[in-house]
Amino acid sequence: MEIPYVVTPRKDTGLNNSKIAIWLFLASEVMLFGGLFSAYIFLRIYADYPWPERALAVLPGLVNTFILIASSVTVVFAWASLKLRNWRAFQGFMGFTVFCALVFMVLKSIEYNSKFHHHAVRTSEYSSVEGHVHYFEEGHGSGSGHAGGESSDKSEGSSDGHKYLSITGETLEGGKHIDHNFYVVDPTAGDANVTFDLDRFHPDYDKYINVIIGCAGKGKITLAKDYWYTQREVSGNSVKVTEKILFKEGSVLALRDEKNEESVISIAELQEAKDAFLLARKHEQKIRTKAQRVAGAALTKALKEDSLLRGMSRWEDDAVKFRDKVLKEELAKLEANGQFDSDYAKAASTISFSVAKDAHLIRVKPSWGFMTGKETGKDTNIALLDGTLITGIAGDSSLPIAVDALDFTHLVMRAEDKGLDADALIEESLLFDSQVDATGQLRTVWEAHKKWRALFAAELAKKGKVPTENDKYRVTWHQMVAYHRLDYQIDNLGEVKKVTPGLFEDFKGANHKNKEEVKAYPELRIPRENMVLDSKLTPKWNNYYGIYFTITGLHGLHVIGGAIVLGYYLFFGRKMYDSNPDWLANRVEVGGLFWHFVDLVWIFVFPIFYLM
Amino acid sequence: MAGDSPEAIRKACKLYGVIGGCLFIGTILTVAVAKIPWLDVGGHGFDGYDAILGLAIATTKASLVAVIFMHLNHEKKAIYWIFFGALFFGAALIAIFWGAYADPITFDNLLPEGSTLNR
Repeated sequence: MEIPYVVTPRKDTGLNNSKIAIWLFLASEVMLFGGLFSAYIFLRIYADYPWPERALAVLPGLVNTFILIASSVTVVFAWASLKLRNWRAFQGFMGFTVFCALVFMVLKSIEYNSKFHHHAVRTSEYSSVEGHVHYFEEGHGSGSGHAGGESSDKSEGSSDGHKYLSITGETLEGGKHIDHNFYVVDPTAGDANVTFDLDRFHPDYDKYINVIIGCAGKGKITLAKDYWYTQREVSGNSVKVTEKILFKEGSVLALRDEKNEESVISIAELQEAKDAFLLARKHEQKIRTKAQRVAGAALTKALKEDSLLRGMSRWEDDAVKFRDKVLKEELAKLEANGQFDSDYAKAASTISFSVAKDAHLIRVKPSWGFMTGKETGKDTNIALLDGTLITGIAGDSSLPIAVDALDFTHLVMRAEDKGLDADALIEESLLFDSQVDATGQLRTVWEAHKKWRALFAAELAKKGKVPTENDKYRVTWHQMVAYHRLDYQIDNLGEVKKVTPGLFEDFKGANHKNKEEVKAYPELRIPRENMVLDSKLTPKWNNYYGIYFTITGLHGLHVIGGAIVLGYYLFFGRKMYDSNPDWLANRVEVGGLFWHFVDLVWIFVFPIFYLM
Repeated sequence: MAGDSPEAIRKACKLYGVIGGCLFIGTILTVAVAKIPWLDVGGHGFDGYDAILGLAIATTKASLVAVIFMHLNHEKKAIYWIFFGALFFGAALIAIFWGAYADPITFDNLLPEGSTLNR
């Protein structure tokens, strides 16, 4: 079928159809991105926290802007080459355009990656730090495939008896590491229990159970009291109990493949118990509803006819007793008929295990659930997303983090709202507590920063200007490195400027793998109970990253889409060029219009996100 | 294109090159006004003046792309209707948001007098 008006213009519009179509599409895109930019404006104006200003490294954004501009020029050159019937030139220009798109996406992915690995913590006093969390060697000596396990617990003598690794280059070689960011229960400090909710827990994943067993140690988690359930066949309204299965008190909770031993409850068996429980509940609910209907009808009749109950409300004690009696009789009748299994009602919906006193610390990732009672040594519950509950005494759940940004701007904002002395509050900040900042390096950094900001304020005062809140109350990684390079002796601004990482060092961002640079970043242990929010630099952290990832992510998808279309013309356009070069030129023009729009959006993204 | 003759296209290519150069310069200028202290307009650091200047440069750059690269300087009427229609509706959507924020009826003044409830 021939598509009309792809080369020649329509008489009514004076344009070929493809051009009209792309402009209609671009019109919808204008409104889409316009909506997102307006969302950005409103989020920023009405933010109730200090909006991150100039928070992104400028050079990657700048390079990406150059790349998109260059590709915008070459795509129009590619179109012109087709018009001039120069296939070779078209290939060159279009090839360069597609290459630019690839480079753009590589840079973007590097930028995203750094955000996904950068941790941020906000404390209860509204101070916040950013940095890198210490790593934990995954599967170290444990068969569980997760952090923790017997040998890891005994491997190296850190204060909590666990191995956690510093974040210098050497320790990162080989092996997989995960963030040392855990909720911890300490079985040695008091009774600890793990309770699985048969309604919700998801043994297919094995994830939580594996981790719990791996952390506590093999054979350390045992059934707290006898648990039984029935295997049954349900057919229509009838139920037939085929087997009654008993888990004996003291049986060891084990991994999936350890089901053959008698004194062991494997994950597979837990799964069978769950399936049986859910099947029984489904059937029981159906039958119980039926019996309740019978009881309800009997009560209605009795309220009309029975001399004792006549005129009574359904909810009066005697009426309720009457209904319950009928219900009981009805269920007994159904049980006698083989439709109901009263044993079910006695089966528990949870299975509870005790953790041995000599077990190792149980640690789970914060993203798996929620912890109440975070203070070390206090009673705690950790509720995981699948309803699994770990109870006991909280272990040390503090977060070890190498800090590359210190931010008091939010604290200051809150203090000013309440009419409090922000500077005095900062001096008493929990971040400077000796338990948190054991080496006192963060305090040293802050003292150096105060000297710098005094000098800077004096310098600005000469021009009649004042420092921003960010200048005063936020210490960036650039400044931390500069202060460290000057051994925290801040005497004049020129020296600081000379040793501050410039545009090119900014490209890579704070480098925690560099043995020298990492010394500039104070290592803190932030108590879990003082942490209000901890997150990577992702939308969870604040709306700024929410809108940043939304707009740049959507823009990135446009880059990929555009590159695919333009790449198609490049690699598969020759046949069309030979048969109908004007058609290909029109197609390239349409693709080029889309590509210019992608560039146009970035022209606004760059200053708004990187420079404002 | 003003014309599809090879000469006209070659001439247009020169213009595209010049516009590309302007876009590069505009980008450097955007960074310079944000990063170089003596080019910082208004108060120190980012403020409304920087926002206006930065967005003005960006709008100029975007206009060059739209007018020259996307050929809006010599398009047919239908394209203008579509493009400016989109701009109008985009602006209207933003204006509606502004209207919502400027609405004098807020949760606070809907509360009965003396209420201790806060937003």
